[in-house]
Amino acid sequence: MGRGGGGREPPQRSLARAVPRVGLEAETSDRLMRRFGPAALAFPGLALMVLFFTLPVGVILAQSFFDPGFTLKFYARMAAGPEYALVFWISIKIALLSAFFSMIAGYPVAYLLVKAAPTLRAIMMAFILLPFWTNILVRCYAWMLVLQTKGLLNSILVGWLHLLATPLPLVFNLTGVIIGMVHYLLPINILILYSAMKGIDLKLVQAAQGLGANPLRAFLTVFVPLSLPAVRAAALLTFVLALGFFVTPALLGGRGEITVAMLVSTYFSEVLDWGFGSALATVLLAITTLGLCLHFALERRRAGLVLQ
Amino acid sequence: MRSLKAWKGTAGRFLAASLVASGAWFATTGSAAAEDTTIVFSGWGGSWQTAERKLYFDTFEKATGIKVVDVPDVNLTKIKAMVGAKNVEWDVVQAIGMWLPQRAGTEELWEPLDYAAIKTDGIPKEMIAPNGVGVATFAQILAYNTDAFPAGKAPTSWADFWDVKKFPGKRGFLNQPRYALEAALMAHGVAMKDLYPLDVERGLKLWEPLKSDVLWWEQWPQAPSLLASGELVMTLSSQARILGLLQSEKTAPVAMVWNQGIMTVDFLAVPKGSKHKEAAFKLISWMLDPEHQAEYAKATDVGPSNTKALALIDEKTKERLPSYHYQKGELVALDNAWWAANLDKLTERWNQWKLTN
Repeated sequence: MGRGGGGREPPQRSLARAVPRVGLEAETSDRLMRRFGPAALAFPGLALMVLFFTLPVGVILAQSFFDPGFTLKFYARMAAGPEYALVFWISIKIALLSAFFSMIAGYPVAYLLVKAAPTLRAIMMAFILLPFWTNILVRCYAWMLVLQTKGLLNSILVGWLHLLATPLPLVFNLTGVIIGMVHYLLPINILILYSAMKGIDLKLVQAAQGLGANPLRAFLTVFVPLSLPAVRAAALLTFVLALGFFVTPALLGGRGEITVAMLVSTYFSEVLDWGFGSALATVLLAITTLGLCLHFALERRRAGLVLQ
Repeated sequence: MRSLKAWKGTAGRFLAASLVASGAWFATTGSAAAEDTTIVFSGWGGSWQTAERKLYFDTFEKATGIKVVDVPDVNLTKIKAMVGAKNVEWDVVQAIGMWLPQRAGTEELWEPLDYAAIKTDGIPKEMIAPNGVGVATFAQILAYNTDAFPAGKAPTSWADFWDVKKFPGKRGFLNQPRYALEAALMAHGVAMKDLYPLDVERGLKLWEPLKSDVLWWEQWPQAPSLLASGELVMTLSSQARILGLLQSEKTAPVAMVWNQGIMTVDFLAVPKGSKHKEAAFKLISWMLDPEHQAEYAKATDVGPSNTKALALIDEKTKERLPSYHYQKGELVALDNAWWAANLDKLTERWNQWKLTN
């Protein structure tokens, strides 16, 4: 750890002193820059990742394999209970569904952001970012009030508009979980999509229209294909984030909505079986990593095809 | 120097406490540098801890000169991590009973209490353990919506919870095997004294007919809110939350049943490796005092552990306290040792049961 901290120091100093280039300090920083180039700028971030990400993940990994000698008993226990496979499947299903609906809802908004005038865009951004500052627990309780059988939405549908005879089961089931999670993931999704979409040259769409395509066709055949890499990246990140949810499924789900993250939390804080909790977390991490690798492999292949 | 280091750790971890912490640090280093006079209490936070601050800690500071810093969100994981890292920042902890017995695969997390230094006059024997002593009582009870079931037609026991014909409507329960098994067995004729060891498989089976009638909620605050809104017609809840709701909203359509409630006890314990054991024992003694407990019970509806405290409380307030109803034989005490020993197995079985039924 001391080393990590030491490694962080020189580049920071070199940055701070880069402007008044005087004496030995400037020489040191120059040497660093010459030796490592711009990579030196990544040192602080890298050190931070090692300290607060790689090390804890290492500890989790170790905990799942040692007790105190090497053992596979935690994994054997997981393999023995068919309910664990089911919980993994439920988590993946919930994550896929929330990523999917986030994309459906996020894509049009991101497109509007790209097209909007700067003032309107700023206003839209403010509204997109607003939910970020609301605590996740508060949001869950708010959704309960809105979605329950005697909640706001059902009261309007059944009591005021008489559209339905009986209230819809909107919460304490899969529907509630997905609504709560999409609400949480949407701003993140929109921001990723927007930042990638704004690189698309809108003149190409105009050109298509100039050559006779109607606006819809120009959008579908020019803008959409150009935005696909953004879609893939946003979908993947949303999915990965969704895999780690445990508060929302716990509060808005029913008895069938048990996620791996919920189990991890139970085993760490309730049962105090850190070994088994770590094993569950490790498998979840492995699944996520596998998904990421697959994504990057496919992207690379695609890039290769484009170049050919 | 060591205590100073521990201090900084605490302050860093608990933003809310940090202001108080630095204030207390200046105070102690300024005046009584020779005496080691600051201890950290970790409790559940919220209004219960605000009352503890006022009625236990402030008076304790005045009487003894020992400073108490209180931090919220006590949890066993943090205690295990602190003890494991040999850097214990908490000196007195408000623990649920299930935390005291040693778990398989876990080292001893608690200091033995020195009962020469801690006065336990009036504390029932079953609340005095080598590593913890009972301080407060809670009751997990059956609560119902009075719009759905007005007086005269109200449920009076767990058996009524299972009677869907006579008491139709959605029921709620904590999404955990704890209390769920006790309630199911009591509803089907198991006497309170014969409850433990629990017949797990029978208890789970008894829940099956209710499958489509039960909403399994996750957090205690959900229960009174779902009940008051009419989403649930009856549910497990804690007595203090139902009474608290009725106190802040007199017209809330909720009521509760003491009969067959499950009493839980909060214990005071000292994490292994605390650097201020002597002072910690003094604070524990202070919090067991019948007069202090009586004041606390009056302010919070949390039951006193000290039977002598009940004598200092008027009849009307007594009616609100679990300790009183336990004495009357209406409540059964949760068997902490049984749950601590079976928690891992039951967590697994519970999830399996929920997913396959």
